[in-house]
Amino acid sequence: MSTLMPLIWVILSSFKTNQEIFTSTFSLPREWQIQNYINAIRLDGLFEAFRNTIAVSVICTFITTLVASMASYALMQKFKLTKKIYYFLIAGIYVPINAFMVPYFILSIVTKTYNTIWALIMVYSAINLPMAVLILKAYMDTIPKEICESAVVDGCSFSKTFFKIILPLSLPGMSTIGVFQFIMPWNEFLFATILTQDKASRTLQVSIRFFMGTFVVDYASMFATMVVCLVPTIFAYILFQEQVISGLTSGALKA
Amino acid sequence: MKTFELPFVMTNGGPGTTTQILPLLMYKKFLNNESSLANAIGFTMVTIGIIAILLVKTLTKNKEGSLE
Repeated sequence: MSTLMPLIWVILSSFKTNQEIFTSTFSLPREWQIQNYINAIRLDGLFEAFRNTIAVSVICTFITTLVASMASYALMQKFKLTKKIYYFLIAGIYVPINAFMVPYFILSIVTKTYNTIWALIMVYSAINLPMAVLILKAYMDTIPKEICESAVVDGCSFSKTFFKIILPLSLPGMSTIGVFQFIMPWNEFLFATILTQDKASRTLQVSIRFFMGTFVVDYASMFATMVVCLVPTIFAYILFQEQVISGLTSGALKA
Repeated sequence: MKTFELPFVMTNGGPGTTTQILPLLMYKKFLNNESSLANAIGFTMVTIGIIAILLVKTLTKNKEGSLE
């Protein structure tokens, strides 16, 4: 309930004028203003921001899922250093990503990707990788090894086994992490602010922030923009909720 | 140590420096072009994180729910 109330308040306030937000904060709007939504849609560069955010999310999901599935397949073959490499990859979850502002900034300048979305893509894929490896390895441990051995007997090489057998079998696990990795670049604000500058490479969160001027804060249009940005997320959740829930509960059953 | 957005949007350090937290301090130093100091703050955060992990690991050894 405490997460739903602010959301309802934002949606209601986006239909009020600026004065009404401050005078009668918690009431229903006296007149349902549409002007805020017109301001929001006419915001300069909203469409580019939308396109950038979707592009970053989709490419990050693709890259991280591929790399994480390859890593967990390699970790499935029990060689000598398996546990140590696994812990080393997992330790990345606990590291505070805020600490890496300066190194990522310098890296993005050195690789000449400073103002483009490729800097964001590289950073977000790296941040999401440990969590993805954790979930995928737990999922791949439930795949019996006899399948891989029978594939080798039938004449599959190492990579063919991966692409033809392991990938289709672990699709539920990959869809679980895919949902979480789609949400993360959408919500991320810190690195989006640091690593982008021009209008052509901004994401949605940064462009919402630009409604706060130095002296005047246009709260009503800001709330309207937020509601406009929320709609795709809710839509995607409605489409994929079955996979999210089944992925979470299947992991719980095993443990 | 990962919470940056909420204090940044709500108080931006608070009146004076009352609600200042480590990531927010780092962001402000970074904007003032003192990136070496910001880097040092980041290194401190990572060290605190590593110490926290090691503490949790040694305190929950051979118990239920320990880190495998």
